[in-house]
Amino acid sequence: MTYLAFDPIQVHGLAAAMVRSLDELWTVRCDDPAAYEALRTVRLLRDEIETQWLPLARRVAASLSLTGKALPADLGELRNSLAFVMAVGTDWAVTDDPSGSDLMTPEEARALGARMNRADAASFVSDPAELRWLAGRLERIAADPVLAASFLANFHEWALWGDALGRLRARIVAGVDARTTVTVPELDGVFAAMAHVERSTEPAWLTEMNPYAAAAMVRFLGLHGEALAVAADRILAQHPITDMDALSGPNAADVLFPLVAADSVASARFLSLATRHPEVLFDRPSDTAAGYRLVLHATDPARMSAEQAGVILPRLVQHFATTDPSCDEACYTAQERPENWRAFLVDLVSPWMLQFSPQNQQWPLSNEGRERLLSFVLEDEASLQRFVERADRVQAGFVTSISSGEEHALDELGAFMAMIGALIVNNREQTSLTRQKGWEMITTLAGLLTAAIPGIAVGAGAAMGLVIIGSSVAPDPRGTARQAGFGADLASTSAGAAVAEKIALQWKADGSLPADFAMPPTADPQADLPSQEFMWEFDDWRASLPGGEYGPLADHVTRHVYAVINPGMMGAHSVTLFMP
Amino acid sequence: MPITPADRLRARATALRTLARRLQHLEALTLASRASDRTWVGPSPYACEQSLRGRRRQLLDHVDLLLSTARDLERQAIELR
Repeated sequence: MTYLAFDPIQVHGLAAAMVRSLDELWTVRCDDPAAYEALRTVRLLRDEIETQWLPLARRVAASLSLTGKALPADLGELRNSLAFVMAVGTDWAVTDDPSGSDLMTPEEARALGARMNRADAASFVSDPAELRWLAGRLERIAADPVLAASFLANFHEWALWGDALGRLRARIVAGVDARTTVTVPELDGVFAAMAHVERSTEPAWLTEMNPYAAAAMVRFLGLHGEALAVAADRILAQHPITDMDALSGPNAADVLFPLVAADSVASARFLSLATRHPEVLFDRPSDTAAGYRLVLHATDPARMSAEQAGVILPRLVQHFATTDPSCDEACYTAQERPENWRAFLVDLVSPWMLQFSPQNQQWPLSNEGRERLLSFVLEDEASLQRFVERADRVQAGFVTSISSGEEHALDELGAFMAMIGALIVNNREQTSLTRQKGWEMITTLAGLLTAAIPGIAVGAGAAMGLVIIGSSVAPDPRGTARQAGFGADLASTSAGAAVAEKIALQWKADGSLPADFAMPPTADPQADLPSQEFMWEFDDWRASLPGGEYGPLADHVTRHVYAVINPGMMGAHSVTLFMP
Repeated sequence: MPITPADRLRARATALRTLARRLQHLEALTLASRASDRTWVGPSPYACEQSLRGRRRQLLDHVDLLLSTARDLERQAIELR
């Protein structure tokens, strides 16, 4: 039943005025044809008063003599908010509205807001019919700026209603409220409608509402980019454990992470904000892997700039590196780090290895700082093994980040390969499998990464890389341990050799060299100092080129190979690189 | 004395202006404010108020048009002289 509320005295006065108006309207006449439209409006008004509005006013006025001011039993339903507010707040009378109309008025929107402020939200949200009605009503309010302004002018108990909706939703999802007949879609309908009415990108209730409830509502705010990131961070940065989060089932982080991950701008910004309290990323979601997935997705070089990554990655690694026995949630004790954290860190840094290399200055970190972080990430065999298995990510990151200038790119390649070599082939104890895979990674990268250098026979690179792998045997760490930096030397030599091979292939293809001309030397992993061995053989090979040792071909290939290997630094890579 | 075309135009103008003044002072024009939420609230009262307010607006537009038409007629009467 729909009700209307009225002031009996005023309604009597209105009815009397209508009677007088009718008498008056009947007397309005004019014979001039130019008055036709005006008189037609007079007739319409007269008919409407006579047939609709005067009967309504008389019926309403007469209802008082039948029922007095007794209030209907169902007046408390939200649908009767306006009549309820007026009857209770102003002592007006109430009667049923004969129209049964579903019309929404600004007064009703205001009254609904006022009524919701004082209502027992928990009771209302447990009634499916009320929820459906409320969702429909709020959507209509949201669609009309006048109604929305009226509602928002009165309503302020966002947290009260959000928490009531969220608490019941969490209980239903967790399966601990078997008695309720309310469904999650019905609750989400009200969440959505409230969000649509809100329209703000920074609603005040974000930090007043329970995080789970706020997350449930944010899904419907239509936030993107910066606004979504800020909202997610504000929600998750507070009230770490609540009654809703304690229930099994998705918590606030589980609800928000997929939203954030789907928006590259939001995810980058969210990570930037979350580095102030990284536990939000790893301890808040019910499944730590969800946090890992979000971070890895957002920090993919295809989505994040090197500049952004230079701020975010070091802080995240540092979060895991910092341990303190008296630690609160801002850092970990050694035993409390989340599951699989080492594998996560390896995956995190793999695409950004170029930025860890000594020649690269994209990140605002000292060489010592980069060395410390990378050493921490790869300090155990399992991490190293995973790193080796992530050659594709390392390669992808290198290709994305490499400098555009040819000579600088070659310089970076040399330093990069030296660093990779130092990490993989060092004097640590390694299983033969790790050692072999590490060597394969070096040679594969040498071939693949060289192909990414501008101007270096792009297209032949991948194939040549595989040839090198097939003909190589991994170095024995017991034999190489005596020489710190062997790995760095071998890796950069492999890269230099790959560059020479690609140039030679290009010359054969364009006829600069005969097809049967000898290929340049390759790196020898069994040599004590691979770069030195290589350079000796390389010097002989380039001297045999058409034009001789100082001819244009020799000059060209020497310039490129030296940019990678840097003869002045042969055997010296290890001094600054990450040896445990 | 014979009635001239100019006289007829002026008579029409007078009739239209009289009607306009009449409409301007109708009590029906006050009904919308009487039927506002200071008197009653609900779907039907709202529909009543909106309808009365719409008719009021229409009547006042007619008043403007009637007065404008009356001025035109009087101008024509002067030109016929």
